[in-house]
Amino acid sequence: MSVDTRPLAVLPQPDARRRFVRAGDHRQLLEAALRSSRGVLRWGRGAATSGARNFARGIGRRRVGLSIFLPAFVAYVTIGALLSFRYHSFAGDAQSRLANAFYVLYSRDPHLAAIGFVWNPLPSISVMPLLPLKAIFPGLVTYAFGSNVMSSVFMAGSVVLVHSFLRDLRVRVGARVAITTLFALQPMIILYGANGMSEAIFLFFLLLTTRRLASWIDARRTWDLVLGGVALAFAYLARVEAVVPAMLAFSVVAAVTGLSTAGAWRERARVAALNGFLFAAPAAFAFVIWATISWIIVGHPLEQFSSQYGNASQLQAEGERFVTNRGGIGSLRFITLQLSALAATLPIAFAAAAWVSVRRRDLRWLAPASVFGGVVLFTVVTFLRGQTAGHLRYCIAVIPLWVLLLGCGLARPAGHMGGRRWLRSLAAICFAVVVAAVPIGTSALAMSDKRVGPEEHSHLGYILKPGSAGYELRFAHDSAQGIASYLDGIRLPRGAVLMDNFTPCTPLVVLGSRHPKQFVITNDRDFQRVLADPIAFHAKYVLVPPRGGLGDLNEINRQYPTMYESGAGIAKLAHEFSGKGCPAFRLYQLSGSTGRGG
Amino acid sequence: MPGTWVRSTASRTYARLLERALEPRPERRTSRTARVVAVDEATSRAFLRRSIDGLYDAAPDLSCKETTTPGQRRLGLGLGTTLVMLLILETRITLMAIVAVLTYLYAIVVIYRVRLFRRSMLSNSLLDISDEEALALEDLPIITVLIPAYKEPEVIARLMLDIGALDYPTSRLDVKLLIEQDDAETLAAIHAARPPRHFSVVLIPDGGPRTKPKALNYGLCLAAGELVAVYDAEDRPEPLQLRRAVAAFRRSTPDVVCLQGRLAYYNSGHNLITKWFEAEYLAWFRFFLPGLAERHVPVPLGGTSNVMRRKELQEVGGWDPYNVTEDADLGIRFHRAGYRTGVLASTTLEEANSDFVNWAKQRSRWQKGYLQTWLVHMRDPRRLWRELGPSGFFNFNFFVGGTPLLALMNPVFWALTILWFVTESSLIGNLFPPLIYFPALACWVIGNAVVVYLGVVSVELDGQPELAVAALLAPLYWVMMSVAAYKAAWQLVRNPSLWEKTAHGLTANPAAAAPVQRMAS
Repeated sequence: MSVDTRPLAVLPQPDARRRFVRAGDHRQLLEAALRSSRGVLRWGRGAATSGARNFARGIGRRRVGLSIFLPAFVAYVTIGALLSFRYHSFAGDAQSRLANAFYVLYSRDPHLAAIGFVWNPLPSISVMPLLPLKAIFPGLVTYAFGSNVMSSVFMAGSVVLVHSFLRDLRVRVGARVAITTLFALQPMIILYGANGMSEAIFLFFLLLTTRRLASWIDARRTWDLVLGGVALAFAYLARVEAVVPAMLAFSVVAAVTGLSTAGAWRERARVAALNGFLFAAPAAFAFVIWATISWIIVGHPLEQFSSQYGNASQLQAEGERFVTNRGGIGSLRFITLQLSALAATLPIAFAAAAWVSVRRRDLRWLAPASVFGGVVLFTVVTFLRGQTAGHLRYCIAVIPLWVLLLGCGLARPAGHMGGRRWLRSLAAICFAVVVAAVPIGTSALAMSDKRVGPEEHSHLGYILKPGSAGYELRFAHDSAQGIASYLDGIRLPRGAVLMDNFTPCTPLVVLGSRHPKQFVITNDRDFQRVLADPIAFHAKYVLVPPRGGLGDLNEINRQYPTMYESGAGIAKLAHEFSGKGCPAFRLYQLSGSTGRGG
Repeated sequence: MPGTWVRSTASRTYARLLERALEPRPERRTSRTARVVAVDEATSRAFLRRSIDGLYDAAPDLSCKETTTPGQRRLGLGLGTTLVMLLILETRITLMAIVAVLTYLYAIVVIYRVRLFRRSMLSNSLLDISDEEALALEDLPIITVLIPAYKEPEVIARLMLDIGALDYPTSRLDVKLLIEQDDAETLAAIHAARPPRHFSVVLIPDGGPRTKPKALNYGLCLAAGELVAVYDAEDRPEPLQLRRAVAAFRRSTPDVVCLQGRLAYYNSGHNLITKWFEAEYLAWFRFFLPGLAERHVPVPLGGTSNVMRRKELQEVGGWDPYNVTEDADLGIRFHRAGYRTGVLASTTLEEANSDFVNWAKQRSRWQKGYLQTWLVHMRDPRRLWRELGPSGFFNFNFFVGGTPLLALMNPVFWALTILWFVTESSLIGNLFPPLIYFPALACWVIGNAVVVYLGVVSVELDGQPELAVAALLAPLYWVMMSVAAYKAAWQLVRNPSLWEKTAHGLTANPAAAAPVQRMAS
């Protein structure tokens, strides 16, 4: 044995395994990327590594994304501003979500649980960062404009995601631009991008889920499955409807895995279950956590279904105002009408997707079909079972469904370079425009029809046709502001006014007041105690709406049925508000209190 | 270049000693026994001293001979006293501050882990050498394979098979079995196994701490190979591992001086503990260590299946015989000296502990060793920061200090969480303001879920769906970890260098004779 005395075998090789760009290279790469996005640069021999190319592509994509996002956002938020500030056309639920966020930060009893448990929390959480800006721009709160900003952001993001999805499918650029544009111009998409409702954020996360799921079906990268699952969890935190797409998408993941894995069926089942779990676990976790928190704080895991403010009781109280299932074939026709108005060309898109799927054995269409199809299924089933009202907006998921299926129908295989490209390109554009433009007209018709789209009609009706049915709503903001100003004028101390802020207009009263801490609201932890004995807790006034309709759900009316009529023997009438666009609220002064606060 | 900070080891005395030790001697090997490396009394004494106090003499501040310096003890005592005083004087505020700081740290750890994991998932950062490339190598360097064994005669026969299965020319391979001098049973087993010619036995003389790193250092004194590889006696390295390591070294920049093979278990299906163990190793060796290696930050080595360049290994002072996780410590020292570690896509199978008591002994030794390593390297944080850079410093603290610390913190947070649920938030709500308590709770619950989820993801990525249930039940494993961590913390105070030997051979192994296949990675 001898001591090895040879020098170390060190070869001066460049480190070929280096994948990550060092800090100094960024500037150079950035310039290269910008040149390439103008189509000037050729990737010469050794000009850049594949890492640099990806980096450049990343920047290129970000630019494209931004160039879609910004105009869409500006358009939606401008329309939102017009709706709020000029026409005073508000979506009640959008106000409530923003108000809930407001209670968490600025109410008499600021606490996290004030976010409320009837509706899933993400829409409120997402407007929270905007609220402190009220110091600069009070309209964000008093007009609930923060929610419009939020929905514009997410709807513009959805438009970007539609485009990214089409790019993943390698849809030709002309058709891609046409479909994206026509998606962004769908009247329902414009309205719900602008009016602050939670539809935008819900669609955004569902689109994110769909895109990742489709990527996973295509390339089977586990990371896509993970991201898709996380996006689905966020979708659930935005809207409870996500439960059904979660189950369907879980089945898709499990089935696709099971069918494509080799081995004994036991082994395949195991892998399928594992992949399904990875996809569904984040949403399941979100579900369990939200239910647990709700259970601990309000004593019931699923408030949306059990609460007096939840779906069921709202439906009962508001039965006359909204279309509900009255059984029989009429309901089926009604929901079919709504769906076909928003997706008149769905069958064509579906046929195209199916054709491509069969021809190329491409299963990516299963992603939009399971995710958005799941939401539509939920809507149809719950409506037919009489559990939800027949709102047109509940059908909004059918729009991305046909848009993405249309994309699947126009997908090209990787590396495809057919001859006569301009002709194919033109054909694709024409097809896309025809399929995507028709629903614009039909949705517009549905939205302006009082029977098919009652909510949308009341929102937009009086703008388009002054003096129509919803015209009164236009004054809701001013009426609520009037109540707030009146109360502000009395200069009341903390916790002086008892009210149930679930009644329409009441959120606007709190949001519009300069002293939001003067109100005792349902979200406060001591609300029930104060309600049981308001005088002992130094409440001085009670604000109560008339009975009937949603007024029957009002806690004060439930506790003191005669309050509105006669003061329930403990209070005397102090003021009656005219209530144009709002319920005709009455302000009762509790006897034993001195009225003017000290 | 690196290396100036530990006194150069290529001293003349050492060269002379080595020469003498390696002088050709009359052949003592008979056909029936193993070759025992003969070392005369004086050399043996010199080597022993070198193995025990080599690092301490060269760089006392990097040795674990004294776990804490007086300065550290004073600082610790001072901080402890201040904390107790604050707790007594301002209980509420102090508790709040502690919870806030811990929550913040925990959030950073989880986010950081997710990022590291994501990067390893998206890019394969293992050094992957194809079979063809490995087999086509020429001019192979001599490799000294060091295999310490202590009182484990039952694994010797198996060892001959597994190490014998390494595909490397025997003329370039120098396998040294490191046996304690008084370990007659193991020696007898080796003789009985009649090892091939490239195997030899080194008898470690008595004295100093009786630890694996001491034996390794002694073996290193006698090592002649350009590369040094370390295996445990019960290991089953993938046959092409050494060739792959040579190829990986040739492919890397010269600052890569150490390669860590991937570790996994051959008995992972034995019971839930072994499954947990396997799932944990999978995440560690498949995702975290490659992620660390790719970021050029210190990689705590894994104890076996390391292949190192001998010269640099000696330069940084070899293993620390007083540290009970000498492997992790060595990895840090390599990086402090400006070298790097790579993670090799080649798996060595080990035996997982299937018994709780045995597992707890091993784990508490690891936790103790990590704490020791952390204390040693944090003696001069500014110097560590200089030598490792901000990212390396950060990673060192998270992976070496953070691992046992997290295990110690876990039960406290679990208790707080359960308390919140049981008392319906009233008790905790009175103690902490919601602005501190809710983020802490959210962070804790979500963070735990994320870590469990990532465990399941890693199991899927590695194509081992049979471990999924174990990965899901990981929180129970964390409870075991916390038990071990508390035992470790107690032992660190009482008996810092005690090495609790892990018993092997607990799993009777029917598939023992099957050759080890290279695992896809």
